[in-house]
Amino acid sequence: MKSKLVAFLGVIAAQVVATAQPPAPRPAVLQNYPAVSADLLKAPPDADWPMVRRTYDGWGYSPLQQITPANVARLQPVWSMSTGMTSGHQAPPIVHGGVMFVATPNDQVLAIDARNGSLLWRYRRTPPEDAIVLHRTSRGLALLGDKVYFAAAEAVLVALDVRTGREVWTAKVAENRNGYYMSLAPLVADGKVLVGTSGGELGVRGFIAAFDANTGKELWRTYTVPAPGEPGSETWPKGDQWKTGGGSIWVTANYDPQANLAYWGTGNGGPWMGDQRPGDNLYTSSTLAIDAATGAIKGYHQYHWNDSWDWDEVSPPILVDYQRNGRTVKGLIDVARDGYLWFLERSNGPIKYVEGKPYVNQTVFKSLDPKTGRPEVDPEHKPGTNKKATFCPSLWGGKNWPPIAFSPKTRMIYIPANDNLCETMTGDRTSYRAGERFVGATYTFSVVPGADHVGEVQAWNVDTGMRVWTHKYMNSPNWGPMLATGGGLVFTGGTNDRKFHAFDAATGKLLWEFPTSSGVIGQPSSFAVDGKQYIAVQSGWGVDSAGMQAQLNSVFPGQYPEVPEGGAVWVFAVK
Amino acid sequence: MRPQPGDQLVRDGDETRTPLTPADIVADAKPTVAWAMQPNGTVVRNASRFNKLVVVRVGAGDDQVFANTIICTHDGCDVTEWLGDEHMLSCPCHYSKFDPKDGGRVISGPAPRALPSLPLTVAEGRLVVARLFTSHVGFESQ
Repeated sequence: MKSKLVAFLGVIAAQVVATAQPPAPRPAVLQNYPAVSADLLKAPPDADWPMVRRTYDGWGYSPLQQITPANVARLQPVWSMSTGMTSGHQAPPIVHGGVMFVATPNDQVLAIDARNGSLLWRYRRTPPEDAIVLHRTSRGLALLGDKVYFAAAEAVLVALDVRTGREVWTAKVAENRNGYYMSLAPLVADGKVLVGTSGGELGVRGFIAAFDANTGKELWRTYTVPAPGEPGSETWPKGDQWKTGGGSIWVTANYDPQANLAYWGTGNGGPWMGDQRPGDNLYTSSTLAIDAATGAIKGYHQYHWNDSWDWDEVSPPILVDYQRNGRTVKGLIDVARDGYLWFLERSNGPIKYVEGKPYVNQTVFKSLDPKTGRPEVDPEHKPGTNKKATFCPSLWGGKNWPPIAFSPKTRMIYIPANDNLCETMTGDRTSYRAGERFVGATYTFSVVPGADHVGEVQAWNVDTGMRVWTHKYMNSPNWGPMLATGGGLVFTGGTNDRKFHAFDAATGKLLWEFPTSSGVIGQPSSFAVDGKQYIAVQSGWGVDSAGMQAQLNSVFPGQYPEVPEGGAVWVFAVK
Repeated sequence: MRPQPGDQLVRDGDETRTPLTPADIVADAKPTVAWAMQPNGTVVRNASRFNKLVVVRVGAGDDQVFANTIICTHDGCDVTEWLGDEHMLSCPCHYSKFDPKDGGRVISGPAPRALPSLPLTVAEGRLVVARLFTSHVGFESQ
């Protein structure tokens, strides 16, 4: 019997050998892929978009200038490709050496020939069916050497071989069953891969962790909520609130290579009602300056203390030097969810407040301390346990996660804003259970009476601190990450009409629009192959943009219909 | 294993494993979070969050109690909110609204399909699972 079985298996093996196909030859664009050096990341070639915001300073700016206000009307699709996924497509097309890398929802990474849209490889993970992933999105990838780094949703960091798409290593970042999940792009800095996790609505204790880029070995971990006895712990009550204190990390840091400091934005405290965790609650709703070598917290700025509005300050500030009162400030600029535009000063450690001002309707801050920027909060507009309060902007903030862009040519930042939105919230008691919602609030959404619009693109001059132009979307919120180009244009999607827009960066004039397959909430990028400039973006409405659309439709029935979902990569050029 | 016909229901966190009765489900209250339990009470099917249920009452009779999965078909959040005046379940993450009386039909919001319901009956005064979930539990693209 045994010999018959062996013989049978031998026949099968022979058939497998006989019918096996030889591996497909590796496309030349992958064979010739130039490894990414640490120096390249510090000063990318003009043709490349090698990290989420292209450069470590977070500008979202491409110096390419072939596409201009004069010719953008002739911008046309060159190729597009379906991702096969639904939900929010927020990652930028990352491009280096003619290869495009795209992350999509549901743990997928695509490598594509940037010139023609040919699929080079596809990587997919299969998380547990009951993985806790309350925001099914990925905000991008990171490159170093011959690897692609991907933060899988179930809190696993993955390094892929850039030429094959196969896993080189994986590292468990946190326990998904306890509510930790990932939506951000990794940051490659100082030879390490840095990530943090989402989960601020699930009672997580936020952290940033660094992994060896070659091996995946964890090198350090820094919590955004201090344990008793650590600096900042005096801003928490003496109980166990710090263990579930929130401060999650939703978005990739910007980075100062000279100081070796990464600037991370942190999320709301947990649970939502501040009176259940009395104190300032460092380092929630803050920017942290983290030493990439050691993980040490070298500086911080807390935008608002004792958050009670779900105002995660998820976006990191961009690094840009600006003029103020006759001097050049080595600056940080953050457009915060709390509805304020913050001008800060960076150093080799401490972060100094310079100026803060509202950029949308804001009802909570009565004033800012002129030296520290600490807001005086109007208690009438701060919800609490069994205390109802109405506040503006809404819990989604004046700007949510979508990144701003900065053009060194116009000296302007470009802000995807949502104005005229408010929230009425009442807190209640909640108890922590691992992996379960830990919010303790009920809330309803509203629009300022008489308001004629919600979505905006705002342009502010960083040297004057003044708004230069505003484009209003009369029938849509705005969830569009921004791209500025050396050609004098600003590209963004964000609207519920599925359109991708181009504005004159100097004047705000709308110059071009194109309706894509779904709503565009992806980060646009620009790159060049063989000397030709392209604009790339993912279309794929979902997560919070869909939530806000549903809420607006409940306030204005029929005026904000469902936006079709389904992701695709779009690439445009002037013909 | 998903809830099976004949299973009883037990309140989430109830270590006494007391089977739920129709009277335990109160009208216009927050949804009762529950699990299915083997009829002999030895196994609560709580190994996966995909087995967790929300149970609501929309009227006076025993047949006015409905059970649905708690897993939103949009992004998998727990559907924990109850709009008492409308008799609708609501997801706190992205505001999808479901009608438990109508098989979990989507009323509004981004959810792409109905919230799977778990048909119930009453036997010996207790709530009992009548049939399997009406469709697969989970969210898109899984």
